[in-house]
Amino acid sequence: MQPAQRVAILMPVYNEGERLRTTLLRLRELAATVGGVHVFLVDDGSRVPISLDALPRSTASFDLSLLRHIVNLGQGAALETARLAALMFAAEFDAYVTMDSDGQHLPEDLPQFLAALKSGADVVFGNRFAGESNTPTGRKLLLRMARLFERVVTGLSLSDAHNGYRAFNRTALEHVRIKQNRMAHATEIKQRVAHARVLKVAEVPVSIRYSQETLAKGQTSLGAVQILRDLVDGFVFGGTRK
Amino acid sequence: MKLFGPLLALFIVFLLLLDYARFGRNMRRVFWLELILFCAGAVFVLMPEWAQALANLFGVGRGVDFIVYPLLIWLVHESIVSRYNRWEDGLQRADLVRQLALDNARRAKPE
Repeated sequence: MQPAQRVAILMPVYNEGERLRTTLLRLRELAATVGGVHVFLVDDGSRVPISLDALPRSTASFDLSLLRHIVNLGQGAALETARLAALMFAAEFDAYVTMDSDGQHLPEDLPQFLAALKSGADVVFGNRFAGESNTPTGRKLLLRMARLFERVVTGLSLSDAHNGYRAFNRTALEHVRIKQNRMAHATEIKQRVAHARVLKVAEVPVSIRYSQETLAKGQTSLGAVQILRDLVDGFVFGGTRK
Repeated sequence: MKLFGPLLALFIVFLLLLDYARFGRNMRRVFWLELILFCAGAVFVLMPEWAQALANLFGVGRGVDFIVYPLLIWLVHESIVSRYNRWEDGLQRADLVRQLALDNARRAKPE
């Protein structure tokens, strides 16, 4: 019989090696303290497929499912795959947490999300501006503008836009079907939460750790233009509908 | 018009060469279709009185309106249909790739 696990981690990954392994090892260390963790890791068509042999093994409080997209679809599509895998899993979880695989999101912040869910929130968003993040100035400005944009588009007034560190209870996760395959999924998730109308939203401080490598691999200002285009397509062609 | 004519011709030749290189030998029909359409367009630009005569025939005031407005409507329509197809293709491709991933999910080995 599988040990009971409270937390499902939904983690997309693309072309990550050592940083992924480090993130998973830290999660495994922490797993027992949060009642058990099951990682749903979706390899989004990495050039060198991620092998189970290169990942930490399961323990009584840590388990991992590896899924692979045969082609690269984008972070949104990988998150949707992880979401479905977690919802279809034999056991139910108390919390479903979306987290980056490159070490930017600290597993140590996880208990705050769980506490917020336990206090009655259905969806919890991480706020990097309240935590001890080393966010570069240019990105801060871009995120401030994105925050205003998202407030208009989604109606949700959050302190941090496009923070991938979030937690849901099962009811909330069932509401957030992701159709945006690429980076516009962050706005789409907020739209779905807002449209559901019944979900209670909370924010918790998180510390995001940027490094030269993660910044080089991450979003650029041009990425914001692509997000806008994807959102328009989604709006026009039915991306926000169930 | 004296300078515009050769410039337009040069632009058309440049586009044709670009597409010929892109499509290669297997897509010669695309090349010929483009050549015919570009040349037809160029005729109306270089001979505006022909466009005007056609416009008069259909009761439209200006030749340029007669040519450009229907063309614009058609281009906008094609652009929207093509974006919609791309969006739908993206969803279907994602569904297929996702189903394969879910069917072949593997669990970590115990320590």
